Amino acid sequence: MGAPEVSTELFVLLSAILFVMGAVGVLLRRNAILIFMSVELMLNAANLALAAFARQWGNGDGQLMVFFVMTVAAAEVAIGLALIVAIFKTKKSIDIDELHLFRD
Amino acid sequence: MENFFDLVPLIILFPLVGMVINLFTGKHLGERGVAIVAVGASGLAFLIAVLLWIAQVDTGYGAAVVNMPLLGSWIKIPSENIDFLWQFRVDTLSVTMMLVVTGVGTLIHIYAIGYMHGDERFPRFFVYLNLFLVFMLILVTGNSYLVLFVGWEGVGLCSFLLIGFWFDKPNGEGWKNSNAARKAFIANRVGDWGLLMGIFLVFWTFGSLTFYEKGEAPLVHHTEAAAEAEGEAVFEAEVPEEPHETTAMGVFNQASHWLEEGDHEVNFGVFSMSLKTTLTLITLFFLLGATGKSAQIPLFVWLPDAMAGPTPVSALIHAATMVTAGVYMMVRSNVFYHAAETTSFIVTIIGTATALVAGFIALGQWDIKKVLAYSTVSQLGFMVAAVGVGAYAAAMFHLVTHAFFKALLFLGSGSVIHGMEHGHHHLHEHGHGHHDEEPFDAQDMRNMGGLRNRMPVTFWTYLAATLAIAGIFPFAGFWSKDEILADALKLGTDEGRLDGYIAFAGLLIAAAFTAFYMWRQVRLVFFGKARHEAAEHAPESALTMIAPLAVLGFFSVVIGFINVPSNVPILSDIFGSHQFTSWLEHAVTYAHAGNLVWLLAGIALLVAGAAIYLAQLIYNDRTLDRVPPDPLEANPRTAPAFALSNARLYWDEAYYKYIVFPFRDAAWWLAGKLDWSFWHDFVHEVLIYRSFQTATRVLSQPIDRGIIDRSFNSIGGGVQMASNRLRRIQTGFVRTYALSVLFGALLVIVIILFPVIRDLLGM
Amino acid sequence: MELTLFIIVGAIAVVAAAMMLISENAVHSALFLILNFACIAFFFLMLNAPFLAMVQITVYAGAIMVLFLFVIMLLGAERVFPGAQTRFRWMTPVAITLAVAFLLVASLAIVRGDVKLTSRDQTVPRVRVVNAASALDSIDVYVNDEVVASALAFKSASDFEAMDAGSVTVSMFNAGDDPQDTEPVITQDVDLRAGEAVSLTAIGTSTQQLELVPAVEDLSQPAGSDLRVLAINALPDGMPVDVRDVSQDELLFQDLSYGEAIPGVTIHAGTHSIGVFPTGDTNTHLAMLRDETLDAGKSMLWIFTATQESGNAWENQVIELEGETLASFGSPTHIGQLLFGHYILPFEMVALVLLVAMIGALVLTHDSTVRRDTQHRPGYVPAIDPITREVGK
Repeated sequence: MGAPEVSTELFVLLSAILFVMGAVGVLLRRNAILIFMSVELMLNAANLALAAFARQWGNGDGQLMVFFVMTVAAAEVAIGLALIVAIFKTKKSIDIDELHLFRD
Repeated sequence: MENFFDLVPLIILFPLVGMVINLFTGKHLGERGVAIVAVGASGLAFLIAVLLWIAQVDTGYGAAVVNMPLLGSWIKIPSENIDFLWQFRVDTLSVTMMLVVTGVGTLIHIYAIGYMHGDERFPRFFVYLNLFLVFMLILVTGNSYLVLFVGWEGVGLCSFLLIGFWFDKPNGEGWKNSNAARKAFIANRVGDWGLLMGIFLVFWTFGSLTFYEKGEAPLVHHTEAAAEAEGEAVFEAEVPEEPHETTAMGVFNQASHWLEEGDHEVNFGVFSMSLKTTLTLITLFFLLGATGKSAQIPLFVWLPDAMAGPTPVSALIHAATMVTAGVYMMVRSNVFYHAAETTSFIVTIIGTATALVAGFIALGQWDIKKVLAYSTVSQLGFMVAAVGVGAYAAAMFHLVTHAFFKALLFLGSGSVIHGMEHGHHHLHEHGHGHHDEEPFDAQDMRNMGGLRNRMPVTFWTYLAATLAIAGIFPFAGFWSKDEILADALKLGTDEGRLDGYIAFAGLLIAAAFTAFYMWRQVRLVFFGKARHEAAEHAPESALTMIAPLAVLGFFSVVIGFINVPSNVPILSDIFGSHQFTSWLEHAVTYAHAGNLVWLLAGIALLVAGAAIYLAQLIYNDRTLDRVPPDPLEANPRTAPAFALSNARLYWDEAYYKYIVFPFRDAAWWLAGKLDWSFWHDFVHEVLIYRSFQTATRVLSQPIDRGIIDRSFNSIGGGVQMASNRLRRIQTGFVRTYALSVLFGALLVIVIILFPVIRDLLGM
Repeated sequence: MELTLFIIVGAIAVVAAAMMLISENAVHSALFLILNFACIAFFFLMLNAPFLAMVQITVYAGAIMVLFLFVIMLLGAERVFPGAQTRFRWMTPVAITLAVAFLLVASLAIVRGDVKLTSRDQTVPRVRVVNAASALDSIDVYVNDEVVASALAFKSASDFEAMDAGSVTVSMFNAGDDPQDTEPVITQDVDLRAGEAVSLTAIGTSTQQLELVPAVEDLSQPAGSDLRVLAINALPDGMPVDVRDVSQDELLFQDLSYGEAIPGVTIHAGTHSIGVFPTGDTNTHLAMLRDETLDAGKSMLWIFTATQESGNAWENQVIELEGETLASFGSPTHIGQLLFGHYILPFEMVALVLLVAMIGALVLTHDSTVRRDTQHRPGYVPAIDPITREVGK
């Protein structure tokens, strides 16, 4: 295992950039599905950071964590999309601003 | 056979179970079922009593102490080392009482089936009767004064309940009945106080209340026993050679032991008394208890009023059993009474006086049951006087014979009353007669007459009982009364004791009274013409009523033979001599047999016969038709005496004037002045209520509302205001929440990186 | 080269993410996200995580995003009606400010944080015990008073077990002896270092010359068609030996003295005849492994020893034991080992989460679920009704 040419910091920086972009997507988009996709983007950014640190420490645990995140993300997508479908069935819209079920 | 003694708890259990069954299911069982249960319970108890009797005979009259199952250690105060056991004592004395109570009780139960037929509270009556049996048997079987006291109070309660059984009769009769019940209860309370004080004193003196500990035989003075041994068939009690250790002794043997030692002082803390004085005090307190329960002067006034209860109750409780509890208790305490000569003197006087006074009052009564009630008081006076002269066996003997013939008299009178009521009812139904509005007293002898032919069984049994109570040979009363008289005279002649002579003379006169008023009653009720149409139509009572009459009539004739004196020829050969006394001697330390004094017996018989003859003369067929008024009343020479007797010597009036009214006035004064004016108006109203009100006013207005409420209200208002502002954050829109989450995450990271940021900013 | 590639692919990833954010059409967004995921899969490859890269492509970019696209097309929700005015206009500046702050803080953490630490091998030492002492029967072996092998027979070895690094005391007893009462037959201190696999080998043909040889193996996998061999000389006369590959006429181990473990040599896989000769001698072999087929990718341990036959004759032997190597970092084997070893419980739990999600998705999208709150189940009477009837309100 030779010294990596691309340092860990660069990967983590890229991860941070992608994460922030995902966060901005969650905050600004009104389409529920797009918000979901932004969340996926954030998850992937986190995965990237995990994989980078796994290489940094030469430890498989980080990669395992990535694997688990992917799995949970798959579950989350299944549930989330099911929710969106259910909401769409009643509201005929997936505009997140038209939903305020938590209040009143 | 000794195992038979362990059956003794059953004698209480059977009536108890019967009572519980009738109490809870009586309404559904119907009269028949209730009667079967109650009579069955009573009959089984009698069976147990008989078994115990057989066991007694079989085991050589050994006394047994049986622990109560489950309740063995009844009252226990470990810190004071007090452990009252609920024990039964099976000895000849208690078995005698058991036999009388359950035997007479069963007959009266059977009688009551007919008498109470159709009463709306039929089951309740039998519940009470069985409950009475329970308590009466507790009283007689107990092996300590405490258990005896439980029964004592219990029978008092049953007496109260049964006297007032018809508390809801119309026309003010219900009030009269319940007043009579209250009177009985209150008069008994006075006596109970005496008994209780006596029990306290016994406990203080001996540290125990147990009659005899397990395996302990009554101590008998050798000298006494030797003196008595001259007579035949006096049983030598199993006298222990050495006195028992003082610790394991019952109160009686303890008392005997200390009396033999002499010089025993009872320490009361600040002062001490000799044992004899203490025993005198104890026995006087017991005497007070006995005057209450056994209706002696001064507390006898409740018993005549107690006739307000149904007649079977009068027969069972107020003639045969409960009222003899006082006599039983005194006989049980014969060791104490023997030691306390002063008390014995007082007992004799009280007994004799009661016998005389009650006998005199009975002469002038119109109410058939009142006559019998005063007769009962008088006969109880005989028994008490017998205790006073030391004739304990004679007292018990008279108790037993009296139980039979007085129960019979009451039941007979009940049969008469029953017949009269039926006759009256008959008149109503058939419409002839114009007595509808007229109040009719079925117990008034003025309404009776000529019932001899209409109620033959009642008449003949009644006659037997009358002869028995009058003391005519060979009926039961002759033997028992004669023994009392003989013992009284013997006390006078042998020991020169004044009370012996007084008792003899008084009781002889009382016996004459007895014969006279009984014959007067028989004449008024059964002879002559019917003085009321109801009497003309009175039918003979039902079989359930006359069968017990017949049985009791038989016993009234023959029961006296259980104690035939040894010097009576022929009879003593047939029935054995002094059977009853010999039997009792195993339990009653100072029981002794007396021989028949021929002269005395002759005099007594003569007096009784003369009294009957006199009554026959006065209440002859001619005068009977003119009743009322009573022939004595019509005669100006005897009229004042009759009036005095009829007014019951103004005894109740005197009580009212000198005790009840002053007491009531004092109570009124206390209630009005002390309680209401001072305690309520001043202390409660002014001192407590007002000051409390002022205090609460101060506390409530400025402090509670001003400070506490306001501070909490402002806290609540503040929270409400803050939450009103804060709830605007909860928009319900997902994106705002996401913003919050991101902001929070940023905040967390900043906090984590705080050292780095601080370094960067050069701080 | 790698850096250049990183910058190019990173730029593509960022641009794809940005395009995903600003696309009005949700389908376009999804496609850009797939592109982004592909870039991340590439990065996984760069980060020695080929398995993750594979999963990223197949599961994420494949399965999940297909699901997204399917839902978008199903609902016809490509775009939100632009006419609907949002009530959160203030959201845009706030979100961007927050994002910038977040990025700043993260960069600060990366730049000023202690990220650049020297690489540290975290692999724990692994230890096994080999009984190659013909003078001993079976033995119990304790490391620091803890049993690692019991009743270990001659010529057999225990499995490798992970242990903490550091100096440990190894004691060997005749099988069944109580370690508290009896003296160990061999006791020796051994240093265990991370990243090593140690075969604690007991040698000796007589009880006087019992010895413990820690043979240290390399855990890494031999490259390509090679295999690694480690040899221990435990012959009874104690002379040094040469080990030669007779078929290739190659000297594998030279002057291997008694009780010595020379670090492994790498040989090609294939059929070999290996001979053990006294040092310098090439003719009279002491022992010979004839036509042995040696597989690639393995690590072997050879122990030359002898057992005493009837009389005093010695029968020389070679004990062949297979050593241990670790799968290469990030490979499917590596991930699989971790997953089915240390992480089996989390793996099961995640599987359960997936199952629940599956059922949840079914329940949520079922028709009756959607309408349930608007209709009562038959026969359902609210408890409040009889009460209100009674009260009359």
